[in-house]
Amino acid sequence: MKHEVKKISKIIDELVTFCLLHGTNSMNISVENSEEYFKISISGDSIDCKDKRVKKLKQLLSGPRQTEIEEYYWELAGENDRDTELCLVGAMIDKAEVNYDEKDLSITLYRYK
Amino acid sequence: MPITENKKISVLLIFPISLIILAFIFDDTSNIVNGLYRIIINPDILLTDYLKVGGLGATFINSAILSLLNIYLIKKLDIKVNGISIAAIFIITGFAFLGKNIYNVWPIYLGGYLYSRYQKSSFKSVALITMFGTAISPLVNEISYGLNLPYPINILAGILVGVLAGFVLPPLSAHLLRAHAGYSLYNIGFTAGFLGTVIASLLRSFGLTIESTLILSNEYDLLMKIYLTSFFILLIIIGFIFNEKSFKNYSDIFEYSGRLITDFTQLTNFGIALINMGIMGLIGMIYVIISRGVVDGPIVGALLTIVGFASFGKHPKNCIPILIGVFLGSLVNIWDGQSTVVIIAGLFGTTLAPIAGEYGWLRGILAGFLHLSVVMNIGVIHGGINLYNNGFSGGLVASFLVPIIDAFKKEDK
Repeated sequence: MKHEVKKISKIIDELVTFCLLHGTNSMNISVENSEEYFKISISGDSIDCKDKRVKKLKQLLSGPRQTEIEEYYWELAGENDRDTELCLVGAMIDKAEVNYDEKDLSITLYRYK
Repeated sequence: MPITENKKISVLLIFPISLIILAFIFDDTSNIVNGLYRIIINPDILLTDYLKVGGLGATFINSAILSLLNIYLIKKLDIKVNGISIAAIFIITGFAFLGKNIYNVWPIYLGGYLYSRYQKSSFKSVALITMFGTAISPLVNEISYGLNLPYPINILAGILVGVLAGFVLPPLSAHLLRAHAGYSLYNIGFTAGFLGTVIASLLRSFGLTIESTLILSNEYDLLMKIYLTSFFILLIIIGFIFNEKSFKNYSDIFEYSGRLITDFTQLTNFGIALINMGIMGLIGMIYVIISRGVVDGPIVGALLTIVGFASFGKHPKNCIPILIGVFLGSLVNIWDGQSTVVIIAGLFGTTLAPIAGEYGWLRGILAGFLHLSVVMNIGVIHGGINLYNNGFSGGLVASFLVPIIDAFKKEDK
């Protein structure tokens, strides 16, 4: 698929923006590039997991991959410093695992090749 | 309980089916067939009102066929019924009143299909872009019937240019999004404006001129007001039922700026999105009545487009400032505020709703005011072959305004 590396970078950009906008002080990011998929893991602390938008995160990332949305809008991911494009990220990935632990948030995303 | 895809498709089917029923109530078969023929052979550049060219029955059938075929495409390609696909269906249904017809849209689809084959991807990945991309379909009619080219070269040339336009739209549209950063909702209008400008310039350089046109109806005003208002109320009722027979959480929608992509069917739920669609339709209709406008084909197109995009970013809080801005502009500018072109500038001007949603009502009014001036001057560049002229203008206004607003913004806290 075209622009694959850039798309992964933009998904990470979006998640980093989301965590920083919601107050994280420290975060860890790892990316696994296997033959089958890209696996992106992000964990951040000091996030208000009771915030409405944070609670919505799991639902928005858990939808099915939608190539028709990805093809049209992927360049918008990570482009704004005030708002986030979680619907778009949800459309660009196949599987999401989101876990809340009081102030800690961990997100793992899979994008199959 | 989650609403199934089939139920959502059923909701989308209501409007086209009602169009078919009304077409045969108000018109007869021979009138409809003759009207469809006139619609097909007419150059469709802005503004061509099919209600005038083909009559009520033929226009309704033209719109219903395009709508049903695209709903079928969504079902067949397994595209989810969400904010963007709803917007795509409504914009096609609406513009089938003023420029998209059962002949001129297919070359665009073929171009999109060939692009997907060339990229070795599925047609599904570009299907929505192609649906929106039918904005450029008057190009097919204009070259086929408007430039006095000899037969059958005219037909072949029209189809070929349409296919080429459909082929280049997907990469162009994705790229141009970054110019306005998602602050203009009709991004394909912006893209088709660029493409139309290049094509119109090429044609002019060979001595082929595109004549501007203004064909408008005024005889179906009351009927369309009653019909559309009933439909908007029906959307609110269905949304109310889907939302557990309540309006609860509707106000959540106001928390979103509307910037691309804001899918209310995911961010809230399908019921709330339908309620918002109905409310936005009613607001649009009130705007037309306040402006003392006549509901003709272009205004029907504009109202249905607003309704579609009310599932994908538009809501009263971010649209009303834009409408006020255009309305104020029409009071102080040289244009007639009651004319269809000025009224649709307001309705379609809500493409800039994310500016009001993100930066506040005052800047939203400014954006609307500016949009009116730009849209009234920009059509001449592409000669009217881009149906989403307001999308072209909206893209330019957003690209111009957002960096300036941002420059004056105080530092992030």
